[in-house]
Amino acid sequence: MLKLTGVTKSFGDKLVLHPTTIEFEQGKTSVLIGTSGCGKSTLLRLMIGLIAPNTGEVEFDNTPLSKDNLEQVRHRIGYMIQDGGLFPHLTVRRNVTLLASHLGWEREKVETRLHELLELVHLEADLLEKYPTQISGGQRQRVALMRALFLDPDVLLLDEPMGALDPIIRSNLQAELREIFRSLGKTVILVTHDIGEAAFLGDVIHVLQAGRILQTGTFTELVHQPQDPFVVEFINAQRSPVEDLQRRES
Amino acid sequence: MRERLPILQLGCLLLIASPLLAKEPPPLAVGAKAFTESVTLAEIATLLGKASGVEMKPTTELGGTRVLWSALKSGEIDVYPEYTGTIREELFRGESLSDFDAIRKRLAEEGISMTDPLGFNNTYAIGVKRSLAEKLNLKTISDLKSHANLTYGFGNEFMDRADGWPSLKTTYGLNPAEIRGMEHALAYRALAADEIQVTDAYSTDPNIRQFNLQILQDDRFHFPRYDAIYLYRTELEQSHPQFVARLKEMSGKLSDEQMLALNQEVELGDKTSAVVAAQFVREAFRINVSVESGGLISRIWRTTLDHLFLVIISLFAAILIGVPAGVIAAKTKLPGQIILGAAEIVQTIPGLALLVFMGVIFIRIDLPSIGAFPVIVALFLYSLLPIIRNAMVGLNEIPASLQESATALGLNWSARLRLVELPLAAPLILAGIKTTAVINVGYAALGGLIGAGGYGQPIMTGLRLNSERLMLEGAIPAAFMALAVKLLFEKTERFVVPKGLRLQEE
Ligand SMILES: Nc1ncnc2c1ncn2[C@@H]1O[C@H](COP(=O)(O)OP(=O)(O)OP(=O)(O)O)[C@@H](O)[C@H]1O
Ligand SMILES: [Mg+2]
Repeated sequence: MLKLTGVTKSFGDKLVLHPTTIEFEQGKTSVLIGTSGCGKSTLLRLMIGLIAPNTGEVEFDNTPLSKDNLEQVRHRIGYMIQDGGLFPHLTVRRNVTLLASHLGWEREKVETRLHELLELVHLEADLLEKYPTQISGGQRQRVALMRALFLDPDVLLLDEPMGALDPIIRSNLQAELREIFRSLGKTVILVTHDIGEAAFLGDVIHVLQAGRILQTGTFTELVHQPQDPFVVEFINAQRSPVEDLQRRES
Repeated sequence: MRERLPILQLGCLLLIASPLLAKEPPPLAVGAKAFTESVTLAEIATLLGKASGVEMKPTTELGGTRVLWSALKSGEIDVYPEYTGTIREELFRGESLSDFDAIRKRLAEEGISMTDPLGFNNTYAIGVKRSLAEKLNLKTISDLKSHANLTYGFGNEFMDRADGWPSLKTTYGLNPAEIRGMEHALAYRALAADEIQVTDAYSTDPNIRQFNLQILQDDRFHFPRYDAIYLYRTELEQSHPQFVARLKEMSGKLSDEQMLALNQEVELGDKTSAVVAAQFVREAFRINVSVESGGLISRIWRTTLDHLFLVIISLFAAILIGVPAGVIAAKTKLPGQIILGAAEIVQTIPGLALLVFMGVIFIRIDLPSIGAFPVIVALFLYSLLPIIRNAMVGLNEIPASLQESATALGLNWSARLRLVELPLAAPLILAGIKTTAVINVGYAALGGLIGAGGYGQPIMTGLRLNSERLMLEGAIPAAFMALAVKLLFEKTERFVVPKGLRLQEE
C-alpha cells in the first residue's frame, strides 16, 4: 500500500533518516517505535508529502508521490499529527467536516458520516458545537481521529495518538482503537514511544534508532530474537510497577 | 471574513468613483494661501463671482504659492489673489520681469491674466520686539549685523524664497547664531516666548500691533514691491466676462490701512474672513451680498463628514490592497521583501512632503492635485505598512502544526488561506487595521493644507488666526473620532475574529 525505497532525509547537513526501504502492508497495523528524535514523525511526514525526500521514492498504491497527485493522495490518507492539530477557530463539527464540505459533500451525507464516527470513537453529539479549547485532551484526540477518518481513507497515519492521556483513558482508547482498526480493515501506521502500546496494537513493529530501522518483526520476534542490543534495552526499559514490586518482595 | 465582503465592494466602488465625483461639471473656484489676507481677498472674489451670477465653490485654502500656481494653471482653481513681488521673485525667478507689462506678457504665455493692483503693498518686513529694539537701539535691518547672538525664526516660505532669507542674508551680510524655519503663525508665539528674537512679517499684518513688534527699516531696499492683484485664467474673459469685470473693478479699492483694518477685524475680532469680505463688498460695491456662516454644530457636522470621507475611503482601499500584499509578503521571499520595503519607505516620507510630491506628479498625469483625492492617496499609502505588516506577522505566526494539519488534509492553497490561515490571522490583521484607522483620523488633518476639508481646516485656520477656539473646533472632534473608531473596531472584533480564538484569549 505504502512503500519507501532508498529514502533519505537531512535537514541542513544533519542526516535525520539514513537510506530506508520499508513497505507497509494493506490492512495491517504497523508501529514505528523509538526514542525521541529518532525520525518517526519525519517518516510520517515523508509518507504524506509534507516534506520531500532527498533521495529515494515514496509510493502510494503503486504510484510515486508527485506534485500532481499529492492532494488526491492526501484525501486517501488520514493523518493525525502529534498534538492533534485541531483548528482553534473552528468548532468540533467544522474541524471534522471541513474537508468534506470543501469537497462539496451533501449535507445529509456529512451528517450521517459525522454520527457514524461519533459512535465509533464514543463521543457525545453535544460536543460538536464546542471549540477545541473547551474539551478535554482525551476528547480532542478522539475528535482528531474522527477528522482523520472522515473521508474513509485507505491509510491512517497516527503520530502518538495517545500522548498526554491519563493511563485509564489511554488504556480504554487503546482498546477502542484496536477494535476500530480491526473492524475497518485499514492500513494503519502508528507512532509511539510505548512498547506496551506497540505490542498491544501492532501486527508489525519497526524499531528505529537515530534515523535507522534496527529491526522489523512481531512483538514475539522482538522479544525472542532481538537483532540488536538496543532492541533489548528498549523493551526492558519500560517499567512495570507490579513486576518491580514482586521482584523486591521475593 | 465572509460578512465583510459587501462592505469591501462598496469601498471599492467609492474609490473608483471618487475621482469622477471630483470632476463634475465645474463651478468656479477661488484659491487662497493659508493666511488671513489671502483668504479675505479670495472670499471677496468668491462673493463678486456670486454677485455676477456665477456658481462658486467655497473658497479653497491651499499650502503655498507653488500649489496655487499649479492649481490655477491646471484649472483646478480659476482665480487667486497674488502679489507682484511673488510673481517676479518666486514664480518667474531669474527672468527679471521689470514692470507690469512684462509680467502680463509672461503670464499670458501660461494662459493666465492679472488685474491691476488692488492698492496696497504687502511687502516683507523684518520685526523684533519693541522692547528689544529699544534696548539694543535697533532701527534698521543693518543694525542687526552687530548682534550675532540673536536667534532668527522665519516662516517656511520666507526661508525658501529667492527674495527671502537666502538673499536678505547676502544683502545685509547677516550671520546669526541660530536660525529656525517654522510655520509662520508659530513664529509670533515663539517671539512672544522669547525663543526667537527676529522674525519676518507682512507689512499689513495686524500681528505687528498685537505682538508689539518694531519693524526694522529696509535701509538697503532689499524687498521688492508686493502689490496685491488677482490672477485668473484668461479663458474667464470669454466664459464669465461679468465676473472678470468685477475683479478688475477691485483695482485701487484697498489701501494699506484698509487692508490692515480688514486683517485686524478677522485676526483680532471675532469675524470670519467671509463675513469681513461680505461687509467690504457691500460697502465698496454697494451690492447686497451675504454669507451664511453656519452655527457651530453645522460646521462641525460638515467637517466631520469631510473627515470621515477621507479616512474611510483611504482605509478601505488600504485594506483591499494591504491584506493581499501581506499574504504575498508572508508567502514569498523576494516579492515579499520588495513589498514590505516599499511600504516602509513610503512611511518615512513626511506628510507635507508626500502631498507636495504627489501634487507635482498628479498635475502631470491630469489627476486632481488639491482637494480630497491627493489626501486620500497619501492616507492610503501611509496605511499600507501597518496593514501589510500585521497580515504578514499574523500569517507567519500560525503554529507550524496547524499549517501542517491543513496541508495534510489535502486542502489546496486557496482553501487553506481562506478556511484556516486568514481566520487564524484575523486578530492581528484587525489590530493592524484598527491602528491604521486611528492614526488616519489624525493624519487626515493634513487635508487642511490642500483644501480637502475635514478637521484640519479649523485647525489650520485657528493656527493662522491664533484662535484656540477654532483649533479646538478641529482638535476635539478629531480626538472623539479617534476614540469612536477605536471602540467601533473593538466591537467589530466580535464579527471578524472567530469565536474559537476569542475563547482562547480568555
Ligand atoms: N524541520 C526540521 N528542521 C530541522 N531538523 C528537524 C526538522 N524536523 C525534525 N528535525 C530533526 O530530525 C530529527 C527527527 O525528528 P522527528 O520529529 O522525526 O523525531 P521523532 O522520532 O518524531 O521524535 P519524538 O518522539 O520526540 O516526536 C530530530 O533530531 C529533529 O531535531
Ligand atoms: Mg514525533
